[in-house]
Amino acid sequence: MSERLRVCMILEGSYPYITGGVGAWVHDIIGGLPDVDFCILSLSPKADQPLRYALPPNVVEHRDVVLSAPRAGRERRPGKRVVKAVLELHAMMFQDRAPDIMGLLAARTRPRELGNGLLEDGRAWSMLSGMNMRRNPAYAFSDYFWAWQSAHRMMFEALGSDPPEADIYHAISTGFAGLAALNAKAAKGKPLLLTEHGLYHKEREMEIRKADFVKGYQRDMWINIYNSISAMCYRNADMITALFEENRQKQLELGAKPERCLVIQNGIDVERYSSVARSPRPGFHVGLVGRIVPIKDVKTFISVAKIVLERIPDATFYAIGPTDEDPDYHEECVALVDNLRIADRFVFTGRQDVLEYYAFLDVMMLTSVREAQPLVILEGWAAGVPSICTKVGNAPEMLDYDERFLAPSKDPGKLAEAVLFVHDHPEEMIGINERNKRKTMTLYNKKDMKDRYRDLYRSMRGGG
Amino acid sequence: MRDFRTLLHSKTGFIPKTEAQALRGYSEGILSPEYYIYLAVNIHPILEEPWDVREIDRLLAKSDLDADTAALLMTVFGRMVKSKDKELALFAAESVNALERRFVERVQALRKKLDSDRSAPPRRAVIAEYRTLARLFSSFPVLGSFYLDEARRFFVDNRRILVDPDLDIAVYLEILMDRREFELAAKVSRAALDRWPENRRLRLAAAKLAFARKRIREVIGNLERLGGPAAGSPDSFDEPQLFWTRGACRE
Repeated sequence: MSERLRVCMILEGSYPYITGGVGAWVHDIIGGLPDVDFCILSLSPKADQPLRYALPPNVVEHRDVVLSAPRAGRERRPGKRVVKAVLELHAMMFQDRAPDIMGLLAARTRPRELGNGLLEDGRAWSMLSGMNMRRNPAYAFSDYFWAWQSAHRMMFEALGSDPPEADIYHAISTGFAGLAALNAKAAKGKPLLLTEHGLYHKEREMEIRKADFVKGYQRDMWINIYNSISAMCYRNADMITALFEENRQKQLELGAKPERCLVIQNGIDVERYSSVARSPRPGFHVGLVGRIVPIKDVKTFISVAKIVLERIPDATFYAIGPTDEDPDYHEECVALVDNLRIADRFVFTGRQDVLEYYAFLDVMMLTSVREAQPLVILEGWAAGVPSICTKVGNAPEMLDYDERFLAPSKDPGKLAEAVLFVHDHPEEMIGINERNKRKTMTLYNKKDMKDRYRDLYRSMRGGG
Repeated sequence: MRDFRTLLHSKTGFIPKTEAQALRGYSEGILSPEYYIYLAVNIHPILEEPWDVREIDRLLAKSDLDADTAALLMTVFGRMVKSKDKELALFAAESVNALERRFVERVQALRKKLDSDRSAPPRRAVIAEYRTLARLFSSFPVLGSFYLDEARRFFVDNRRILVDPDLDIAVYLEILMDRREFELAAKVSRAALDRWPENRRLRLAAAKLAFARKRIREVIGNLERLGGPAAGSPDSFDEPQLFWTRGACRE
């Protein structure tokens, strides 16, 4: 074992190929812990994606696993021990008992023993056809088979991945990354740290529920699969971190052990944001910092603008963020602004240096339908800008459940009331802004977050 | 027949979600009849709390979701989004986005065809989809009025093609009335009735407009001009017409 700590981060559909919250967080952690070597094991939907991040010098290895890649040739039938473990695991799952995934992984004699070769075994095949008879008897077996295949092929790839050597395996979600991390733990005998920003199975469940292409029983099937994978990850991780207590509670509900579950909240570069020199401008300026995508619900922000402008005609609204991720949605938003005849008071800035806006914004607004722990609230607070937010993720806790600054999703009327409160109570807002700034400096310093992860890595080294 | 404890103690992994599934399961000998009876008689109105999330989920999954069902779902989501249960609220908010996206995509798909097709039917379809969106967002006033205005603008941009009194002008009148642009609607209505005085749909639209403007004599006058109920099969205008012209409105 080298002197330098070596951590393998395991990610799915994220860093270093996709920018955004999780990608930025990973990049920050790696760059902020130069005394630690990192390997990256990324799980991707397709090969040869362009890198969206320049890998820091302490990234010593990067392996990419394509989840949808077909395996070449006919697969070998697995050994009897593996088949027995597969049957036992499914039997436990269907009896609502904790399935022994580590037992299954330990039963393998070769890394890619789990695969379609299982179908060569009569007992495994009987289990598959029997599951269809018991669970979906009114439907064609072919439908069930292909649904099973598309779910399990990705699981087989994740469980058959070849992890780099490391002292600690750090999965940044459950799901397929979590399975790859369980495989790494089993194969290398090293500890597993699991960090979740959102909750993977909940996010997938939401996607499935609102999709019109996943039909009938297959909706429940996929939701059950994702729940089971998360439960396996929670039960077998050596440590788990959540961004906030509510998510930690949900991890405990699915089988995580309380003594292994920590909350480590995200942080921001407080020096950078608190150094903003405030120079308020005439009028009243309201900003939304975020990508122009449906999940940020920019249309509700525009609706708020319409309501507020009737009371404060010289207010200006800024949607500060890239517009190219969902061009159709951006076009709809522009049409809405034009239609409401507020184009002279509403600006889509595109990607910008937010610090320039934090210098003069009077209030920030987040109209998202989903968030984990929105850092823009903290950035604004550090810069001296108050925030109004929908009641999503950790936002209510961050805002001390203060109803003056919170509103249900898709409620422009209540959000507009909050804007008007900020506008109408400048004296009171001075004290609130100072409190928010202090809170950010004390509780949400990115340096503290990195130190906690460094300490956690060190404490876990040698475990497993 | 075994009693309904069967449902509680059943070891089947197959849980039918609709009466049709339960009936099929029974006819194939997989399920006992209690499943069918339970699903057929245990009707929980979709608008009623506690919400039947399983049923809402099943409806949302329908790829050929019709406007009426979508509007019903939006009513549910409009309430659910304010729920204290954050997961329910999140589900509702995401579902509102998903439904909007689904109908907006229909508009986008139709509009893509317009360059190569100069006929009226796809244009009527665009207007119908915009009106559906306006209806879906009736409890979100800013967005509801936005989609209604998109329908109005689209009609105005295509008025040279959209000239049928029943399929176009009457629809335009309804849009104007929904937008409460009564003066403009009255002008359009007069011009249209000058040109097509015997058109039943235009006449009924004129009556509705007069009612909205609280001009009761005009309502009755327009309905009396309709003559008797439609010859042959009765149409949807008969009932309101009879209500107004046979004196029931005065009772």
